[in-house]
Amino acid sequence: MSYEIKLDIFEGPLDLLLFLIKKDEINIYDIPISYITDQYMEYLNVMEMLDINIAGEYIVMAATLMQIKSKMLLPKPEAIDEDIDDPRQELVNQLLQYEALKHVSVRLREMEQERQEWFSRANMPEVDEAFEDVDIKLENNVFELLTAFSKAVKHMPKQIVHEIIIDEFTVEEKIHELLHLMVERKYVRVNALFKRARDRFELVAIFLAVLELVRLGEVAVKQDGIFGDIELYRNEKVLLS
Amino acid sequence: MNESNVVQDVDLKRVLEAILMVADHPLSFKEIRDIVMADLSNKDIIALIDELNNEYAQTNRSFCIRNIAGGYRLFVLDEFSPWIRKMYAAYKQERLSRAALEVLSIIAYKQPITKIEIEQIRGVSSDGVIKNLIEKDMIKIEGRKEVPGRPFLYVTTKAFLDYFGLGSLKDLPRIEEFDQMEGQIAQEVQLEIGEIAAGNRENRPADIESA
Repeated sequence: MSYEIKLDIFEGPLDLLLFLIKKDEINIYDIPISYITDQYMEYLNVMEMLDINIAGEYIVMAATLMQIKSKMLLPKPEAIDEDIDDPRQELVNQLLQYEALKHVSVRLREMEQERQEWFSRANMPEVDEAFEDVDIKLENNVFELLTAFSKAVKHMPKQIVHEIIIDEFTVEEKIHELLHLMVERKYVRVNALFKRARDRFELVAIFLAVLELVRLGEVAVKQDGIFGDIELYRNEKVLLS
Repeated sequence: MNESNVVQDVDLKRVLEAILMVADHPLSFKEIRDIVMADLSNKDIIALIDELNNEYAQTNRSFCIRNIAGGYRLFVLDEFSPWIRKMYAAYKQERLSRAALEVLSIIAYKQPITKIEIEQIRGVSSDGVIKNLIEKDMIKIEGRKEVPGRPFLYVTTKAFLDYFGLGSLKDLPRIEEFDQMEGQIAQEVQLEIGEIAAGNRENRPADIESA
């Protein structure tokens, strides 16, 4: 399950909290945590009802609020200074910081607007393409080179690699060899056959070839006593027919 | 500037005007010096530009020279922008998203800064926004922070200054709350990265800082 949402209305949990605080004209330094938690949860519920996925950060904040709420319920040791002990302090700092950030963003938005009223030579096509054209001048900066490289890598068509394993020894081949041998000789010792194998794959191929020939009735198998040598004989009838 | 330089000053002023008229990007002090080939200090150049701007104002010209993105550039006055817009009707106006503005604000005031520090302030993950801003050339990676994981440090670019009409980072609006916050929260961060930051500042193109 992945939370991947973009709420147009809020930039995140801090934004939502600030909105709730502003909405009810709450003193940010003395947030009624129980009330604001309820409000916050209500908004999350509404978002859920509207089928808006809720990003993980919103849920983390909900947990934080409840944690603060529960801490507030604990009796305070008298000796400790209230300021230091206030479980809301960290959140308040975060909110103040975020509020300041919002002010800066608003000012930047104004500056963006003002700047767009300034026109200069060759300014138009440049601005027009600036956002599509990623062909930026590279300064002597390794990271810019890295960025460009990672972009190039991303856009490179994927190479599909097929792996082909060469069968060095095939059963067919071994059957062939064996039949040739059987034409020259009357019988062949299986042990001698196996000794020719250079590796395990060849050994397996030889063994399978023997089994196949026996199954087909091309050769007959003879063993002299238990643990004796196994010999392969030509099956004359089949060969002649 | 003393008396004996007056004749020369007039010429240089016209040369300066000429190159600014044709330039398609802000000219830095260094560029101006290299082109004009005169022993001008930054102060001399600023004085000449002020003179030109005064002339333009007195004679009701439709343009002025502005200090932007570490240099100087000739711009049409705001009041004429409706006509320019008409001339370039196809031009579409770009607006950065709110998220992008937030991230840019943080980086602008606290650079160099890591992604995690940005996300701590915003309270939301900012991966996509950062990627986007890099693609738009508004920010760039400049070094790594020497902490576990060695995360990238982000700084703003010249294009950022240009986009918001800033001469240099010093022209960023001073916003009291944000400055205060810099005192409180950013202090520890500043201490940690003080050395790196100093290093990075030195490496930055001189014209951004000196402008």
